[in-house]
Amino acid sequence: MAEQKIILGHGSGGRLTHELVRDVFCRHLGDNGPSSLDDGAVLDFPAGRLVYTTDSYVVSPLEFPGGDIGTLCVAGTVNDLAVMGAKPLWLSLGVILEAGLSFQTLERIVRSIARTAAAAGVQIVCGDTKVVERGRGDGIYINTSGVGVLTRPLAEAPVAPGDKILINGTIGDHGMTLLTLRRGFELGTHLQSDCAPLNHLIEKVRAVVDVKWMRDPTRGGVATALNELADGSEWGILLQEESLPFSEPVRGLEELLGLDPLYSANEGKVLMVVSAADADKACALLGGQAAVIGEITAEHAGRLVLNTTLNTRRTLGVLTSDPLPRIC
Amino acid sequence: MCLAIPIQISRLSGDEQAEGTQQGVVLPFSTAVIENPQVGDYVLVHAGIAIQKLDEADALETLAVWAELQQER
Amino acid sequence: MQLKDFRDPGLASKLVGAIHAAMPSGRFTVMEVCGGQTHTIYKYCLREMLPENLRLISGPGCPVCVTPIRFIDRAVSLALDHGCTVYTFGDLMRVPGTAMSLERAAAEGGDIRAVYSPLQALARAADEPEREAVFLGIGFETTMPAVILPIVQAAEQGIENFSVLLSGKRVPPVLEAVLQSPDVRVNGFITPGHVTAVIGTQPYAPLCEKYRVPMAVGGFEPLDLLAAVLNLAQQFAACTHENANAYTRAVPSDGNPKAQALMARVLEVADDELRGLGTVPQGGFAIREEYAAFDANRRFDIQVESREPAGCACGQVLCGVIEPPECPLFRTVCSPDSPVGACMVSAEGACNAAYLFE
Repeated sequence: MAEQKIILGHGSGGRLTHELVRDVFCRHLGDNGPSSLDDGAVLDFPAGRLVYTTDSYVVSPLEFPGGDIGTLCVAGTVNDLAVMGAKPLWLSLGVILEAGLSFQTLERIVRSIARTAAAAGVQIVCGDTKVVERGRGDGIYINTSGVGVLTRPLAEAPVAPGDKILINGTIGDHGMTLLTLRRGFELGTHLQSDCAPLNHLIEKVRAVVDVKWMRDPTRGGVATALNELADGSEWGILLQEESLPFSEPVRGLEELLGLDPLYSANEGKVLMVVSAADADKACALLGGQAAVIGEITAEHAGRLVLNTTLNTRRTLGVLTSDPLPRIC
Repeated sequence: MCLAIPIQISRLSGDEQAEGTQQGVVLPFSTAVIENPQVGDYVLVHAGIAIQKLDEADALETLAVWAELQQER
Repeated sequence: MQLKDFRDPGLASKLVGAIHAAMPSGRFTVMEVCGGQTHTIYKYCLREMLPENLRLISGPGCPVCVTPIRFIDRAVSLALDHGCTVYTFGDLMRVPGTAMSLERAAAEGGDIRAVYSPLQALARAADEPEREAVFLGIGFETTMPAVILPIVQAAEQGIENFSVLLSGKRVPPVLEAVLQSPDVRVNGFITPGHVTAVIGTQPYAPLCEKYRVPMAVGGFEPLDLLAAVLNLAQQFAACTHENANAYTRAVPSDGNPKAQALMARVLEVADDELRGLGTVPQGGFAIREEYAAFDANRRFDIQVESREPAGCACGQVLCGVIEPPECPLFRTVCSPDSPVGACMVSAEGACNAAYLFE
């Protein structure tokens, strides 16, 4: 039997669409999928403030070591809610399929969505499917918007000099993994994307420690996220190069391609600011290769500064555009 | 202008190709302009080709000379 | 031979101490001529560690920065007017041409692909025989072997749809052009370690003699650069002008004869234009007649009209005549997001480094 593929008819709204939604999406999403297929989902919102986010996913290739666009589209949106301090509840799933996409690939992606939603404890409550002609899409584009509930805002005490900055593990894994897959830079590594939902981990830390600020350092990396924190403040941020956790292959790629992993995307990492007294406890709760990577300082107002391994200091600016490997 | 990395040759193949590893990244490269490359040799790899062999003994000696310097700052 | 051995803070401290102890009084300017070294200097803030009276400046050693605007325009034309698949090092993608950069040309429909090695360009050209493939061969002598090896392989394997648009430059004539410039006074040079690993140290000897200027081959790790500075500091104190080597583990004095032979086979020395220096006698390379079929300059009739951007002072920055902040466009009009000249685009350009790191 010929391999089954998406055709334009799957987007027509008729029988084929219905079958696609039922046999691929609903079937694989299972308990984490919509309970009804009405035009909208009617939901009982718990006590607290509503937090709402959206993200679109256009990653290429669709599947990569450590995950796929399915893992990403759930984890990314869940994490945006989680770093706001909200408990993620419901996701919408809007999908644009390119005619010619194989069913097998689509099913793998939907299974990833289901698995990641289950891991995060969230429900896909509504969705939409469209199909575009072959050549007008990269296989699949996904948009997920997410709703969460904020019952307890982030710590009342503002960020201040002396506070510590933590991260829950190695830096730059996702961005560097994708780079190795781009044609022209095929270099063998065991590197994997760190793509994962972080809401349970964040809840675990917040149950014990007052977290003052959180961000998931996705596009633009840790350096861009921390610049956003420092920008316009009366205090600055000092990172310790010695303390930055990197996996070995990321270090290798940094040397080989001349790319700075501080500007590479992370999809399973959270940056947190906590008081100095809470730093060790928070780090222990984060586990794995979590580390204290720097602190808020009274100097360098508004700037992110790196203390190098040679104890000299340099400013880490904001990423200007997509970093391409260099030869110089 | 020369982002060239020291890599230790881990594998050689017949057509002047080799492979080495830099901190967990496997890099293929050409040995076309290296004399008599051997597995275990350290070479400098730039833009996909090895441009020079590295002298390990010299490297160690250099580090030792620097360690002997008296003044610190 | 781990990289981190050559970044050891304890040894750095000793080298810095020795530099401070060795430097005589008086003001001295040391120039490095290599984008990779510029990058290391900024990354580790080495200038902060040096004595007040020792000024370390960057010269025209960034191949992206010295590539004339006309080269970018010709590359864009190959992609958009001639329908070629253009392969390039990533560094070139955002350099502004007269009308547009390669990145912009890709957005306009040009088939432009960044690669890590020219050999990958050849492999892909072989896979797509119906497309004309051109590799943008920029670089100094370090990169020339990598740029011309695919030409030799293409000739041997009968691959007919591959050519190179060459803009190869030579370091010794560039050093001489700087030494002859009335605008900049350099007391000592750190010569580029990986260029010298290919060409050997001999080419610098006549310059040391003629201009009575000391030179030291420098590597790319912070300790290597500090060691080269130490050698020059010692030479300043002793008033010598020797052609020294502070990167002996990678640089035998005769360089790489096999690479030199390959280069001689495919390339001939030619006068060439370097941005900021004008035409430098014997400053570049051209592809020999026997390999004309692989020379994109001869293979395609490329017509472009090129113009330097108004007010751009890249030329002066490149030669160390002015520091980036002294360019009127720095930060006001010219930034990494909207660069006017190559010095701001290239990760090794002095302006880019000054903008991001300071």
